[in-house]
Amino acid sequence: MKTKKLSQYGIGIALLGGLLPTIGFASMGNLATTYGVLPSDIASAQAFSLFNDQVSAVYYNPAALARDSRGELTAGLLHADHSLKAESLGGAAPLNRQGKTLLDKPSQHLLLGMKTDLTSMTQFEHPLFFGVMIGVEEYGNEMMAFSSQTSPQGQFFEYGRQPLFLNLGFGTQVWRGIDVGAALRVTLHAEAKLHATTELDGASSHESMNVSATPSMKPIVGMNIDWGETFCASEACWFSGFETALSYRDESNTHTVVDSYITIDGMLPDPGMNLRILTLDSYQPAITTVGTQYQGSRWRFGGAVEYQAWSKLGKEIKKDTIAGPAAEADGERPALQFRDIVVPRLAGEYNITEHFAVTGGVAYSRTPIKSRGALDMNLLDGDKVIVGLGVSAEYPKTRFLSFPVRFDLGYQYQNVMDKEFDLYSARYEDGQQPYETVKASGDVHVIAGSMTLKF
Amino acid sequence: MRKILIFTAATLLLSACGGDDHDISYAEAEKDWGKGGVIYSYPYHGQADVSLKTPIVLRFADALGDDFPAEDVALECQLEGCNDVPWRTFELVGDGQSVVLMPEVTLQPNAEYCVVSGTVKLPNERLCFQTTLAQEKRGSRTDMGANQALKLAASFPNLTAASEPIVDFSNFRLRFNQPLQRNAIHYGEHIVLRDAAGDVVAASLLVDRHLLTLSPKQRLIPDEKYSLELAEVPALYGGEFSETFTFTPQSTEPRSILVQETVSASDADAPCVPAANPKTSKLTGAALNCVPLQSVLLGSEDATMQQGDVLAELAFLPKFAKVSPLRIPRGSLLTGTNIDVKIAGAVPAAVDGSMSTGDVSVSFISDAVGYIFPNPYSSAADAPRQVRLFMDVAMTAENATPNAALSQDLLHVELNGMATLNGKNLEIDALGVVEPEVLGTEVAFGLLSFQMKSYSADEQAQRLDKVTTEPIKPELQSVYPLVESGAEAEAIQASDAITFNFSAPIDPDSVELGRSVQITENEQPVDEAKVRVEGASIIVELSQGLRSESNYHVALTSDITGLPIPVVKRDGGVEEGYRYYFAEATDPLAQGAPIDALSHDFTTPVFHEEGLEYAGHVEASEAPSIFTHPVILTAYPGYPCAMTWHNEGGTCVGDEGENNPALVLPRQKVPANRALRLTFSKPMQRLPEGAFYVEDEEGNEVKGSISQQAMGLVFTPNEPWQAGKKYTYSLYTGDCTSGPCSVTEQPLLTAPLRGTANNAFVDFVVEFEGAEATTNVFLPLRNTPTADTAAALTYYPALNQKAEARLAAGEGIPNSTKLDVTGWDGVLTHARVGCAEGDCPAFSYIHLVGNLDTEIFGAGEYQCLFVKDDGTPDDNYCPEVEPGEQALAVGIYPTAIMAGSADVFAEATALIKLPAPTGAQVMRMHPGGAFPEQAEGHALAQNALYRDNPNGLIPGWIRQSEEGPVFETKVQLYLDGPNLEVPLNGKHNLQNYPLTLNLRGAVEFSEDGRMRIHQANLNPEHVDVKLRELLGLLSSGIYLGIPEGGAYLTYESQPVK
Repeated sequence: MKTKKLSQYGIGIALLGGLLPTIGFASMGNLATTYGVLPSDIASAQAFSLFNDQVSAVYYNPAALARDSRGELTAGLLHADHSLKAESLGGAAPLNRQGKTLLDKPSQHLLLGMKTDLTSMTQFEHPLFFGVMIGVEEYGNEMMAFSSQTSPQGQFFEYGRQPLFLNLGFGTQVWRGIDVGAALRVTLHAEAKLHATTELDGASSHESMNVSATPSMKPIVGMNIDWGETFCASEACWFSGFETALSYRDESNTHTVVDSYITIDGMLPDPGMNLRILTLDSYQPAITTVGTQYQGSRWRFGGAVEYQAWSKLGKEIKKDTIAGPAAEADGERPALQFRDIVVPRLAGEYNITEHFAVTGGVAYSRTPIKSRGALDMNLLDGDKVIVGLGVSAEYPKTRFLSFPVRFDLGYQYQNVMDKEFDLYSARYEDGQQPYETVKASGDVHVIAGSMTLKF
Repeated sequence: MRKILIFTAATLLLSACGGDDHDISYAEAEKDWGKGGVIYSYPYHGQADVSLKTPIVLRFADALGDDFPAEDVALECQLEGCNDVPWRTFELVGDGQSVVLMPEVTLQPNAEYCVVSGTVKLPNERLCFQTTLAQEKRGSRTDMGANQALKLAASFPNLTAASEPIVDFSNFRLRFNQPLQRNAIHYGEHIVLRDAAGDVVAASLLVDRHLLTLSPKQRLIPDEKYSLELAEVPALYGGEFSETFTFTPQSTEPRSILVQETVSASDADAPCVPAANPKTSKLTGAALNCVPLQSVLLGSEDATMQQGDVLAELAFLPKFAKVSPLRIPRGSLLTGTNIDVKIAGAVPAAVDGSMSTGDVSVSFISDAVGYIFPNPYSSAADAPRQVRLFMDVAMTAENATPNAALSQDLLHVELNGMATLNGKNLEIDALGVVEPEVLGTEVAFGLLSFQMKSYSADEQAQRLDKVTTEPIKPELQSVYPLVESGAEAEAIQASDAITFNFSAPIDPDSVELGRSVQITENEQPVDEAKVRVEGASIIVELSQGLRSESNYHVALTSDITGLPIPVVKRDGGVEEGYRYYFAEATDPLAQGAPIDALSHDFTTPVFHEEGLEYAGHVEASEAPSIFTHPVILTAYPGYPCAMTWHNEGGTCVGDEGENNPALVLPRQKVPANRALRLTFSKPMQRLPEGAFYVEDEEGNEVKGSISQQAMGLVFTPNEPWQAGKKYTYSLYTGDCTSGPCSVTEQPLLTAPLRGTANNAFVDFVVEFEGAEATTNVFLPLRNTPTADTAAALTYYPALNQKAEARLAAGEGIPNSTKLDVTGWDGVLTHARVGCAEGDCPAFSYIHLVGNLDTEIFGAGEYQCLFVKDDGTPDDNYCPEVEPGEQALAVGIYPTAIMAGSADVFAEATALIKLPAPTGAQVMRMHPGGAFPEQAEGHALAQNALYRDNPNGLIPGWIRQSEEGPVFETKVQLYLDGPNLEVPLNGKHNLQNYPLTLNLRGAVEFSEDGRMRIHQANLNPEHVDVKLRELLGLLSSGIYLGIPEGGAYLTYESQPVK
């Protein structure tokens, strides 16, 4: 492994990353669900992710880690460019907007993954593979990217900076053609406790601050059935080439609790004013995916159906101090509600030459937001059409590397279709009437490249 | 590979183009939502009990442009028949964010007003408030709300709705819809606070007008159920109210003490004047914490600046997130700078400094409890919170004389302000109005523009450690009646109260008849008396009034204390931090300082004629009789004699126009907010039902309430007098079951010009007209001290004693006229006054009995009243003055003064001696002519009672002189001697005998706060008594002279309390 060269790249990227502005701007969903982890996921619009033989399978379907027995070291960069707009359609008291664009900040990830064969670890010689996938926002500069806020002008539900993406998992073969895998997704739950005595202008004294972060680990399980290998391993039958996979990713989120006690001499004695905020970000629903693919000689064709259980977010959000009020209906204003969605995905791959392959995918994702308005949060979203395209090149031998290397490049275009939302604020008419109606729409261009060393 | 690198580089560079922050903040959003309107107003929407002279103050979130559309803001009166009030001025202050609008006229009492505007954005479209009730004697019963059933108008904290939380340190302020019968309300009987077990909770009660404050002596126990019972609380004009309220107080622990500084406007000696460049309020633009007292008597230029630290106790704020209670404990003190009292703002009240107030202190006589509310007009994030605080304060002055005049309790002073954070400090800007009574007659107006700032944390601890721990000990400053121990109180009248004035406020709970206050009358203890505390004064009123020629002894023990001082205690240490808290009310450190025990005794003069006998030099057979009948001394409106009414006005019954034209009094105009008043010369019995009757021009009865004191009567109509409408009031005479009689059963004599004949007791009828309400001050005065306290109108032993004592001391005899015999003719060979021979200096004086009503107008340009017949000023009497000099314009209601009998001894020859006592005489004042003209546009020129002088008032001025303020007037009199019996069947010319007196004298203030006006004639006058038809054909004349200064009158204002 030529780690030296990689680290040179790493330094270079890190240096460049340092020039970029550091503004936290997070959202629901995560790197994997919103765009895709590696260029191959991006190109196929995640339709082939269940069967991905790269290390990103540790998230999508850990069972797929067992497809390729080679170890792997992957590094990549992902850049998602957003151009998300909210067009004002007027209202009772519309805001003075300087333009339509709400979000044009990108999401930029440094991707690192490693997969290794642990078969020889045990005495049983049972195939066991271990994978780790890491994605760090802002090319390695932003690990937390936690942000939860209200917004009078509206904010997009998905898209924005993502927190640390960390997954570890195992994949193994249980019978011929049947692989299973289990992985853990690690997110951080942080808690900050602040005690301070302050004057009215904020000059504080006698402070104490304690911050702790607990990792929250949520399971991902998956299963892969290669029909051909299971039923007719020795000779071809009509099963050959078909594969089916099933994976379940438990819901996860990043949440933060800030518990502060402020005393002001002469006005607010012990215990003081208790300011407590509990809020969550980057919520990923429980996703159940069923997919199938058919591997032909030079082409591959597959599809997957995802069931994303977003409706649970509605209950979770009631505990959130920032978004909680939005989840309660009041008078004429509806409560913020989410619905479970089904996302169909289709992709195809064609090997142009022995080394080159081109992939294309398409998916359609309805917006999980069921209600038309959310008090003060003003979440915007739309139904999305996702189209991906990518190339991959695999060179078994290169001039200076002894192991095969694979380069992937993927491009994805997401079109957020028009949807109308009403904006509400507790400061306008007590949140009873919307002050503006907006049409949310936008485009997202994602481009990613990675280099994989297979060993 | 290279392509990968290029791609990567490209994406990295692309990512560097991040857009601008498009975030819109909530503050910007609120601007687009059209917020930014009114954030503060005075009065606040829904405020009640607002002063009639209130300004309207509005503060906006953004600065207003110069073109504030004042024409488009209207003040609408919601009463029927009541017009919109135009604005006199409007001013943009406070960086252009506040506007102060002054109404043109005084508002109507007990009415609702609303500020409306088409263009200016007002919350709820209109801002409405209720004005306060009229003060007693300054309005009809409707203006005092007394024509309806007694009801509880409001309570603070609210007992019926939960708008203000009731907490453990709450006290209760109740406002009723009409005045209460103050002296009859007792805690434990009419109003009781009971705890959960039904036991009575110790509490103290403060009652004034229609306001009541109930303060539990200890903190309430949180989470326990209490009940407040009102059982038949009596109203002054009849009616009772009963209701029971229950509540459960919340705990406010842990509390904190916030030290607030009352910001000084400037450091100069006179800090409130524009020359001192004072800091101004952002709400009104007036100098900070300066209380100007606007009154006709005291003038509007001077202001006292309040200073001092105020300690406020805050409830634990997180428990009371929306509405946070706070309290300023009882005994807190604000000290104000000196004011030099000036009459009408123009004439210094004294030149020797006795009328400089010294430090003016405002003490909290009960806990001031208030709340911090969210802004009621705007929900914008930066809209300041509203502070509403009610306080009961006692105003006292350091110097004795002003203290006696100003010392009083002011209940339910409401401060309404906004709380903002200014850097490190919490700043409270508040407005409040105090309306103290001046000299017991006028209600002054003072708008406080308060600003209080909190200290930083370390300064706060220093200040708390420096807080005074010594309560103030009240020292006796003066007593009314002001006499040496045991001496006779010459000027006292039967219904006067005995008053003790101290240097600092007294704790009302420590004053109790029988325990700390003991009264004896002629050595017998008196139980029927009411003792009350007003600021720094203790007032004792005997229920039966003072008895004639009795000795009174009042003792005050040292159980009486001043107000307790709020004591701050500290516990905790350096490690865990210090906690400051107020000591409990039962803590020995927190008690008021006791006074030094004292007593005062005096004797009352003879009030009525019973048992009196003539003690002059005339022989018994010819001696003048003691005048037994009571007469009317002043009538408002009207004249002290019964009149017959014709086109031009009224003429006294008995005035035949002999010698000179009859005196005609015009039908006088009574402003809508005045009561009718009569005063008598002797203490009177209760008036029988129906003896006093008022009707309008259509013959309908005008209903009202009659309140009687020993020597006076006041009629308050149910409805205000209607301008332009004619009315008549009648006092029906008769025997004592149907007409007015004195306490000695003597019927009222209404036609003194007829002597004491049977036809001198006619019905007393006065025709008058209603007029618009006025802001003039009606000041009733009494001709005291007079030697003739019994109104016997001749010489009797007590009178002689007084006169001789004065002469022996070389002093003038107040309210007397010296008569010298300057000549005689005709058949007479000799004439003397007083005695036939020998020296009897005391008997050459006749003594006067009378009262005087005056109308105080206000400052005007002085013009000398002593003019010659051609109208030019008479240089003999007119002083040298600067042109344009300001003086206080006064109008005297023409009245009649009863003069005692002059014992005249005449000799026709050495053998025929004719004693001719004149008998009781009457001096009637002529109605005056036009008032001196004032410049167009001057307030006086527009004053309805000044311009054209419809009431026939006699003009007078109080102006400045080197010796102090002086009062000047010129009266024309008719002297009548209806009781003169000319010997030998003769006739006399003492009917409509004209006299003109140019009067001038000092105006001074006594230590008990009363105003005293001395008057002496500048011009000598003479009375030429011509007797004719003696024995049918003889005539003679006796020439009497009144030397310069011979007529010496003193007028005193009523005792202040």
